[in-house]
Amino acid sequence: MTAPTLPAEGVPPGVLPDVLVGRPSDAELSEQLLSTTWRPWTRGWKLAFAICGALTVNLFAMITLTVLRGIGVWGNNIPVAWGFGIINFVWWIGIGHAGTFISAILLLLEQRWRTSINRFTEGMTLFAVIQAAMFPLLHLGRPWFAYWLFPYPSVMGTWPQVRSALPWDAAAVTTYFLVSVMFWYLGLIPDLAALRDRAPARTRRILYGIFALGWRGSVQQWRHHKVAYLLLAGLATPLVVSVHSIVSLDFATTGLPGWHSTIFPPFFVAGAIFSGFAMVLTLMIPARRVFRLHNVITLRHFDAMAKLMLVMSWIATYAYVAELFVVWYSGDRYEAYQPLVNRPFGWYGWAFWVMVFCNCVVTQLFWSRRMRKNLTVLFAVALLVNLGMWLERFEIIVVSLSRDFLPSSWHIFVPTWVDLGILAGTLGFFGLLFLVFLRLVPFVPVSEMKQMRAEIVHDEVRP
Amino acid sequence: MNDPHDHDDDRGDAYDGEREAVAAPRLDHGSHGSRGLPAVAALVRLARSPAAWQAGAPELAEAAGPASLDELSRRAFFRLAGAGAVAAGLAACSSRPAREILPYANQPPELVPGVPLHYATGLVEDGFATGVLVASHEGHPTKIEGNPDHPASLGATRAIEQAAVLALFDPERARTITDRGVPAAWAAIEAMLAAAAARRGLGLHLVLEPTSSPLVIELVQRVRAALPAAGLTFWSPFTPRAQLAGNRLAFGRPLQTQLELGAAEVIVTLDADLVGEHPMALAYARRISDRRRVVDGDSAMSRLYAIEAAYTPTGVIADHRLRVRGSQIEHVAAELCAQLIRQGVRVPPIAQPLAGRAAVAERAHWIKVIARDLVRAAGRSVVAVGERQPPAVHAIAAAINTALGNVGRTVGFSEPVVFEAGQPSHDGPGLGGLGGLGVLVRAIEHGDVTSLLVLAGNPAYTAPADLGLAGAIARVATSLYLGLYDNETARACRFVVPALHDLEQWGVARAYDGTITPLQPVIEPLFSGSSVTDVLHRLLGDLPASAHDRMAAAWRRLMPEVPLDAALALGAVGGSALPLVAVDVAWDALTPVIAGAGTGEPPTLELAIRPHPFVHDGRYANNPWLLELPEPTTKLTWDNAAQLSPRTAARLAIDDGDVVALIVADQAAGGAVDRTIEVPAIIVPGHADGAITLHAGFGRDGGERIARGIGANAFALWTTAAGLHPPVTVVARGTRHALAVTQVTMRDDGRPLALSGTLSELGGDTLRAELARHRGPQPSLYAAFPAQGPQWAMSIDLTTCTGCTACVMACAAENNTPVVGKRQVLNGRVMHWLRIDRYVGPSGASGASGPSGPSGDDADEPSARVQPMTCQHCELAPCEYVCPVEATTHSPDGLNEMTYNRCVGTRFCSNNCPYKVRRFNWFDLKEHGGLRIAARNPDVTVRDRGVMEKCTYCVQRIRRAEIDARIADRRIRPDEVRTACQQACPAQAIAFGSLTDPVSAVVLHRRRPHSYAVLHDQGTVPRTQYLARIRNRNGALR
Repeated sequence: MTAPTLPAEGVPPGVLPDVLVGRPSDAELSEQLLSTTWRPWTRGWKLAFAICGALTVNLFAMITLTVLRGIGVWGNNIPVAWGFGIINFVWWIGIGHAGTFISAILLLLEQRWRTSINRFTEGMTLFAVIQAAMFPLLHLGRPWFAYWLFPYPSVMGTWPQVRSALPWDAAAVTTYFLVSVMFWYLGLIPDLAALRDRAPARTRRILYGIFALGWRGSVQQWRHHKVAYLLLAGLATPLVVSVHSIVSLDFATTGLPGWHSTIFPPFFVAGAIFSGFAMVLTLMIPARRVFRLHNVITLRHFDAMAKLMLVMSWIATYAYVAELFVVWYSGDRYEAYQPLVNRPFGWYGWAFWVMVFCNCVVTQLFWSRRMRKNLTVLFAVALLVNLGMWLERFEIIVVSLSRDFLPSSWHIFVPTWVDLGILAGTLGFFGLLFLVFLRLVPFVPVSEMKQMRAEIVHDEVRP
Repeated sequence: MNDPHDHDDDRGDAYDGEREAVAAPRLDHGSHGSRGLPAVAALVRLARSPAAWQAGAPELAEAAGPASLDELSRRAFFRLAGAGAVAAGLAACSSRPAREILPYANQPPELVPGVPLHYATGLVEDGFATGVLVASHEGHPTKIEGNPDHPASLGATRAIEQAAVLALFDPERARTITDRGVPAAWAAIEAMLAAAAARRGLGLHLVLEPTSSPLVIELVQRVRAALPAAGLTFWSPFTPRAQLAGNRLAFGRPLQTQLELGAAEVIVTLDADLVGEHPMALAYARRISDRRRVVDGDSAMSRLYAIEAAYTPTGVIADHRLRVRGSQIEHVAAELCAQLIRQGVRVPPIAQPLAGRAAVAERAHWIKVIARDLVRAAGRSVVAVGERQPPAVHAIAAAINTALGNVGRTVGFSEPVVFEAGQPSHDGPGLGGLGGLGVLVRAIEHGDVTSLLVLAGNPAYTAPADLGLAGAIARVATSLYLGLYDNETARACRFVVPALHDLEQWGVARAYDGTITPLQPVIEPLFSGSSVTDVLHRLLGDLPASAHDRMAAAWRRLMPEVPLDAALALGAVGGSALPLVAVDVAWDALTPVIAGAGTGEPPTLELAIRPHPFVHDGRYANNPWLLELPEPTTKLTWDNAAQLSPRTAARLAIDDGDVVALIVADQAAGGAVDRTIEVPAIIVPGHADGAITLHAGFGRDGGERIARGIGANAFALWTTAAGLHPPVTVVARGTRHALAVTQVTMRDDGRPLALSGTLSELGGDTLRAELARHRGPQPSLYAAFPAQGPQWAMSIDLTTCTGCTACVMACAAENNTPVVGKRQVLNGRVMHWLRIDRYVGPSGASGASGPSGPSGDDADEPSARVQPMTCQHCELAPCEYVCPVEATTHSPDGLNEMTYNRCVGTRFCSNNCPYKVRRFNWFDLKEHGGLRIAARNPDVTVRDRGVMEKCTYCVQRIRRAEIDARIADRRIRPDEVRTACQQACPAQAIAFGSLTDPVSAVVLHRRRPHSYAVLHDQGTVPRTQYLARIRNRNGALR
């Protein structure tokens, strides 16, 4: 299988490349984008699968240990009753947000550059939410009773306690997961049908045929599909705001200094999208290179995402500064202690400064167009932002808890190897799901690309 | 799940209460519910096995029919079932008790299943008894309370008494007689005893603990008469010696000092931890506190000056505290004496020249002020001296108390309570000479001892290191040890006889004031134990009847006027305290002593070895409750450490947790031998400079698995010639040791948590206004919760709280809180529902004129404030609204309740608790079997893994009182409900009751101007409030 001719990376300075380089035919697009699912396994692929698979096995071993022995195998204590589990939960669910933001909000805003990356980011959303959803369950002292958080008709007549943020949390995450799955699957149907028609092996054709749900590409089907897709996008759009807002209420509704803050919902949403874009970049830059998709995922995409990250970075920075002002203005000594003393100069002062560097400082590189188009820089910054956003949740959760009202109960939190193993394990499990996704379905939506090409050509012909 | 029962338990939780109510309390909470299944399985196996049938009941085997259950006809099934029942019944008959036992059908009138009975008895330490009441559930003791009718308890206990119930059920207690580790019988020992007796005691030596028991004393005198050649030593490392020697200096004979602190207006302690370490600490704490209950600024309040090296509980409650290291206290005493004479206290002419002694400049003002206060309160003051001070200091104090006219009012002297106390048989090191054990070791070295009986204590561990007692014992031909554990002494001796625990034996002991305390067993001996009297009787060749009969006979002989039954019911014989004797100070002899006191050069760095507040001299070291109890000053658990002041630590360049070698030159060996131990350092703000305090009782090396290997052995530095404060060299080893402290941060960061002020400030407006800001209604968006019935509330008086930690132990004993071990403590997972916060350094209130102490609050002279902290039972509880499953809710009577069965363990409640008083079961922490679970309180659920728990205000006691009141058709009486912490508190600092009851103590407390709520500004409306710490400061010492 010869790779299609690659357009040149080099674009004259000052000129943004298009969202589609060249004007490949429908057949060329189908060949290029569908073939990702049946290309032969290389040694690199096998290695990647092996690493992620090993980490996944490790994850489930750690989970087994946690469920068998108790949460005590983690580093949590009193006062730091929430640790890596909730950090990972908030981090992963935040990462998911970029996918929904790109697929739903940008769809409604008719942003053309979203087309080639939306499936990719939706997949990321889905797998990030799967990682995230494990933690609220896992971090329970008695996870086998997790269903008590849902309003089900109990014979004892007991219901969740709705003043607590946690039942809402459970509902929000469940909703988010279901809507994300539906949205993703709905968009996938035409491409599954294409795979049914083009896949080289008979088994594959049968399997893809089952999941294509009888898609024939008729006008009527397309019409229904478009309507349903738009409706789901409309449904998913508020979730971008609501899910992380509700997650933020886990903290904002308490009285704990460092948590007790009305700025949290928008701050969390912005942070989520920030970290999500970082993760998109982290995944997309290597995938684009491996699959040689330079023509469909262009520097134009990276430029747009870098700009968005810059914006989100400033929103985060604004929130940090606003918090300083608010706690100073409140005159509350307990509140003031957190951002003014504990975070920058406490036991975990280093983590705060690393976070500030990652989330506020390093992103300023993106003022420069050259940096926005330098994939090495983009990749490095994306990794740093991933780290920075993880540390931000660490600051909020662990650092705030470790020193609250009564100094007598202040205690440091030290993660155990199980904590670290689970964190590494979720990264591996996420990677494994993503690798499977890359090999199983076309991760650039073929039908949408064809449609976009047609629109572009149409615009070019009749400006 | 590591145990299949676990899951069953979890699902069956909802029905547990019901099941327990029907089946009456059982010992085993861990695995009930599924025990029937193996029995059925065994029965089926039995029924299927013809061999078993023929062996058991051949005629039934024929009737059994087909072997497989599937093939059974209906008739065959019933035949088999009936046969099975008979067979099972036969099997149960296999071990019929040899003696008649009584069915429970006719229940004794005093016994109601589920309702504990209380028995009065006593616990003895170093010969002094503390009266206790033991709660017994269906025959097994579960909880120990103080005996209000006993003068050494007055209803309170120390942590040690609280934990005694666990010590009783310690599975590691010695269980059988052994001969060099091999199980043996009395016969072999009796041969040894008979041989010794045949030689009229020649070559025989006895080592006993100091005793006040008339029974033991009578036997010892009989042994002396019958075996005149036998040697006799009484040994306990911390028995009062200096006091008796000091009184001998002052009065010509060894007398025991008795304090009447209830009458004392001014108390000066010289290295004396009256409320922590003294044998009468419980009573003294109560008496001192009774004079310090502040109602308002006009309250009469005694004044307490503590002059001490380590920061003791006495120092915590003191109005003024002066840091002076142990060796310098002698100077202080002499200077105080001189100052008093200068201020006109009348002394005979021979003592007048003593007035010429000038005080060291930095404390001259202090001495002058204290002296003035003592003179002002002459006749109503006390100068008290601790046991780590040499006899001269005790003598000076005796002289001062006499000269001030205190004797007969606040200070008295009695004959020693302990048999032969102050005599050579009690001698110990530090006072010159080898002491009793030294004589024994010499005799062993000369081959003069062929039989050695060690009848209590653990001298091989507690003896001064230079004696090499353990090695000497091993050289004795036949040695016998009577003890509770396979400890160091047991390992040195040939025969080991398991001893009876105090709660298992009949006996008599005297309290520190001499009050006769009858001891009765609250349980049959768990193992085949013997008492000291058993062994002495055997030595004398007579072992009459039962221990009870022996005691009854002795009682009739010794105290015919007091009926034994009445004394046993009460736990003390009223009016049996030793009479005070008239004394005259021997000024002629004393004057040169005072003149010579404290003239030696002080060492650069000195060592003080103190008994640990919980494991004492190591005898309680195998008790996990006590090891995990935070030491009051350092909050250290599972360890001992070298305590030193911040300045000394800086000088030595040592930090918390640095391992240091403590090196003491052995004076007995001419200073040629260095004795060294390695121990981690811990910095204690407020400790005297130039001194190191080390608690004894750790570094155990016997067979006790829990105690073994924890900490360092302070006795290894203790030598016969070293004196009380030997010079010590400290060398940092460069390694670190993790110190499992339960409170990492001792500074309060200026936060208004443990508020304090002075009595005069309380009379003024500034402090009152400041305190008023910490109570009263708070605006809230939430509706007040619907109150119904009594409204439970607590009030804790920070003025009288000494931080002794008895309440923490009482809470753990009452509420079955698990022990987690050192690693988990290090990880912040200690499970105590009640903790005592300790803040040192600048006080946490705003403004210099606020409740912060006006002086003495800088880094070198910190004022420690202690604050018992437990669930505050907030009316608007932050924990409740964040629980997703309503596992923590509010009861109509104002309790913040935990429904363990409903808890899924999100820990959200703990995060939102501003007081951080909630505790989480990180693992399955409960014990699943073994003897120790017998000590559990059957009224309190044992919590499962993964659920949150916390203080309940002892809800089981509240409900019990409610039931009693309902049965009697009356209201709950004021102060009828007493929480475990309140009951144990020696200072009675805790009040508990209903806010609806206008005469309850808690309502009265809340009316006081210094009542306040912690974190009042958070709007939690806590039901527990505090009385700010008020100190009666002397204006001249500002």
